[in-house]
Amino acid sequence: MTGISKLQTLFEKSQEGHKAFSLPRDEEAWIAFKPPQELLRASPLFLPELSELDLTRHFIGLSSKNVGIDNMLIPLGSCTMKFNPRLNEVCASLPGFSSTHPYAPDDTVQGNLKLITSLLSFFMELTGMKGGTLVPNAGAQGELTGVKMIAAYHKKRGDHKRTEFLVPDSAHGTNPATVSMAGFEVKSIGTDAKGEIDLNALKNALCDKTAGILLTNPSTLGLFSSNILEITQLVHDAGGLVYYDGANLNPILTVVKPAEMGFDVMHMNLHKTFSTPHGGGGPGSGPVLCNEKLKPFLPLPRVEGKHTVWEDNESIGFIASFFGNFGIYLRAYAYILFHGYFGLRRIAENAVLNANYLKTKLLPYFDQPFPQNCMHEFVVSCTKFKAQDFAKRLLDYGVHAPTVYFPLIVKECFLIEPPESESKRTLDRFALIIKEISQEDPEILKTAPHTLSVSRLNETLAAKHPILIDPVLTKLRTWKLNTSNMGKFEEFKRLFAKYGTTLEATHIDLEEIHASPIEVVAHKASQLGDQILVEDTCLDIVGESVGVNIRWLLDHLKDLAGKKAEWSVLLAYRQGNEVLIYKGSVAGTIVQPKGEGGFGFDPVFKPDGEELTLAESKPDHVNARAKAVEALIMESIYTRHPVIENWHGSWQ
Amino acid sequence: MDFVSNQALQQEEMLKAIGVSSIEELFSSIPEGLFHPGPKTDDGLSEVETLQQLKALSQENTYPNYDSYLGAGAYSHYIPALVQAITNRSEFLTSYTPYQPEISQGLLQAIFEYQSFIAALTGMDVANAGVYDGASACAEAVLMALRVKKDKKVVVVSEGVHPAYLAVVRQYLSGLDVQIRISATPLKDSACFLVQSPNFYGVLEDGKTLAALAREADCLYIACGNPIAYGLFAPPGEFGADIAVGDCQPLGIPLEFGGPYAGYMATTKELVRQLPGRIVGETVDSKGKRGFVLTLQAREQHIRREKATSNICTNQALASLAFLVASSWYGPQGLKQLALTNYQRAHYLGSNLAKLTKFSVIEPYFNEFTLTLPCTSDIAMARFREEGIIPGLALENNKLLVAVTEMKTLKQLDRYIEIANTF
Repeated sequence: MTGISKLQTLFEKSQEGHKAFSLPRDEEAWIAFKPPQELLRASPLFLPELSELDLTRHFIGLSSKNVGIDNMLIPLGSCTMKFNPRLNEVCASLPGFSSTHPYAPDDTVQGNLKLITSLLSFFMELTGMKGGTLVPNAGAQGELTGVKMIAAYHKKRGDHKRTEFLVPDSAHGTNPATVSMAGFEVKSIGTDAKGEIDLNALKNALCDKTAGILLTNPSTLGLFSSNILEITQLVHDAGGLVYYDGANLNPILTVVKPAEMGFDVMHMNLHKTFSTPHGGGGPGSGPVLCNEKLKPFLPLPRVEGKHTVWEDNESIGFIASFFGNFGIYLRAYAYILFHGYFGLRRIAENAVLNANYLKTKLLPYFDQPFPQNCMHEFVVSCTKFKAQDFAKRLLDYGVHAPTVYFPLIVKECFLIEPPESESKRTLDRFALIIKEISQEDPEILKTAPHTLSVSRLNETLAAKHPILIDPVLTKLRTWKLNTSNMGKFEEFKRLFAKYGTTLEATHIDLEEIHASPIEVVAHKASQLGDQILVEDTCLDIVGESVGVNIRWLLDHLKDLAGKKAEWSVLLAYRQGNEVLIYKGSVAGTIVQPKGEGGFGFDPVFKPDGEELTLAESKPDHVNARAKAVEALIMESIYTRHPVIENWHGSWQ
Repeated sequence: MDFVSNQALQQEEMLKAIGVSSIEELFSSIPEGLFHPGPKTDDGLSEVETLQQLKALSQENTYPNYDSYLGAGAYSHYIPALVQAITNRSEFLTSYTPYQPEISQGLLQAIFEYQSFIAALTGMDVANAGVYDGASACAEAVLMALRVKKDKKVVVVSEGVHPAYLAVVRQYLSGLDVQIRISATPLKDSACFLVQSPNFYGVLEDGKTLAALAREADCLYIACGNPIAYGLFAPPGEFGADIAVGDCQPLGIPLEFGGPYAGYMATTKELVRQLPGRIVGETVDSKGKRGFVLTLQAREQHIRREKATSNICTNQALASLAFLVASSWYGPQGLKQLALTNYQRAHYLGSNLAKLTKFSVIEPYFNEFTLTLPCTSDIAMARFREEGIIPGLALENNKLLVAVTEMKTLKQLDRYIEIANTF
């Protein structure tokens, strides 16, 4: 690879002084207002500097190394990567919506409130539920909301022993994670050979500790649980409530209503079922719908007619600050209006048709543990290759890999979901690609992908040696200090940390030349690499020769006590052919030793304006080291000195 | 209308291949009593009709016609034109979570850069890819602190924390055996001390002193703050915060009636494995070429299930991208100037109001202040609204919370002062 095409981050592309921003003109009337000095940012803001053209090219360049539904088929099971019409985006950016504030007076946002109310009534109609909230920001937050509502229901009835939630082993990871986040215990329920929840295991697990169960139907195996009514009845009989994870709602919208299956509360994923874009991982939206039983516990804020409601004692309270991801509702609303119930039905039917067609087409190439007809997605198991390798090879053919290794209960599996908009031709092509890959040399798969901007990435290395922020930033924020005095190092480390910078120690033995302090540090820094600091401390006593030796000082303390002195610290490092030197200094008086802390001459130096010696108290404003570090971080250079490679003078 | 590609001809061929005679047959596993027949008539709309309906609804909102000073966690700032140009790119907008890194390098690099921006702004070591909003960031940070300080069961929240953030923290902790106390200082047995600065009332807190108190009390210091403020004021990293959180909304994200926004979370190297949500890391491919992947996934729900650090899966990736584009457009100089001009415009209004009899303002503040009025906030609100102004958020009795950003002109601010002068 040539250096010219090398990947560069924003930080690497930065050029001093370049800028893209413009700001409205300042007025004489306010430029005199200055923020209080003591609250100001002390550390430099290490952000990249780029012109607008360079920025634009950077981000467009990044987009060219990414793909979405607009580029290719993304048959991800349980993720419903359906077409995201641009109409949605146009609706969501209408200024009448996008510039409204969440605390706007109710009468000024009647359009918003109407939209929330009508979207909720569409959802209630589609699910058979009696109440709902749009607020949860994503499916997982919807789950948390639902579980909290169930908890509130039991609590209100004084039923305090219900501490367990049942979760099928085929469930999404968010289900068990939500349950434990809400403070409940997770009881995992197995799956039988037909891919349905194991009824005996369920019966055995149900007891008076059961708060509820979380279910997906169709399940994450793409199968509709035909005994769903029996399951929900069993849970209700045991006193528990039933939560519906709406991730797989797409194929049953207008066909089956979750409320009629016996579910008490559920969430929907607007970024799955209602065509709002995934945006590379969000924002989503996870509205929660519920029956009469749970309605009083719905979260805040609520819309009631022309008003918003921000207080209610029975409600579980807030799950997000405001009304949730309102911008996403606009897209979902446009989708529903556009399609109507008629269109939604056609979508459900074609999602199921597409999945079954593809399932049939793929029969020759995979093991299919559940041979029956599926709903919107199906599981296959790779026999000849590792699912991971197969998935990576698919990328070379211009299709996104399906969901791999989920659900956890099927070995080497793919969960494949070809949404309704995909044409037969696209599915045929996908099947052809699968066929071709199945016949390939296994070695090609093991090392795939071969045609993308990168080959197989090393995920183990990333986890073992985490590099989580730009190395340029890390370097800007990391200094090394060459010292053997660990007391000094620890003090410097703390001072650097004040500016969000890290200090590391090096221990390179350097001879000291006999010269002025400036020359001494310049010589030492010259021997070391860039950004390795050397330090020199001196104490100059008025009337004495420059730079006293600590031992000499202690020996002559009797004569020196009471004299004025200056403590100065130099920090220096090499940059190319010169050494940059920073200085911090503090004026004070030599006194009789006092105090246990510190080191060196700390016990005999009392800074001006202070009552205590440095050994008793060393606040940063009378600490020459702190001042030197501040000068360094603020790039306030004391002096520069040419590099001293060879020294012909005397040595200490 | 619909987006289904296959028409009757293809559907016939597909049914034949499957070996069923109708689509309805594919739904046969659904018990009879549950199955609803489909609607008979097409009730969908055309694209233009849909847009017209939405537009009509948007025009029922009169809020955009007002000169508004509302803030309180959601701010009206200029959004650079570049932001939408980038977030509307198909490759970002319609992409999936980057679980297949080789085909998602663009987004992964952007998130990596986003994490670096958050780390640089807050002065912290590392950041995650973001959570839902400022409120959930606070709640997740508190949960994180409780994992770090396992034996402590008290959480202290400073009085100035946004009431909605506090409410969400309460929600996230409600099922756990943990007490929440509201206090101006940390308590001895607390796991963490959550402080917002500028706080809900707009006041800049003395982070340095409060963080030192937290260290003395052996609890984690969680600093919640407005990212624009860090262009000018001391970021959490400077006073040794353990976790920095907040909402990205002020930089690049529209008000949109409260969402989608994006919460940020940053922390120290030591605590990185306790972070919730997605994190991107740098690595190399099989040929040694640099690339990016989702990493440290052993913290997350899809791997750890009930033992995960959080249940969060979908986050607000596209909104975080908007934040990255906007903050890189400003750059280090621009962010400082943006913060300064916000400060100055707010102080122009604040100090001129404070000069009027019976008006007062609480200092020090950044771009939002609590104004004490000579009358009830209801009366003030009504009076200002007659003039086409929403003067701020009405707080209890006679107080308003007033936000001023770079969007306000001298003329607008003078008009505000003029009306206040008639009180």
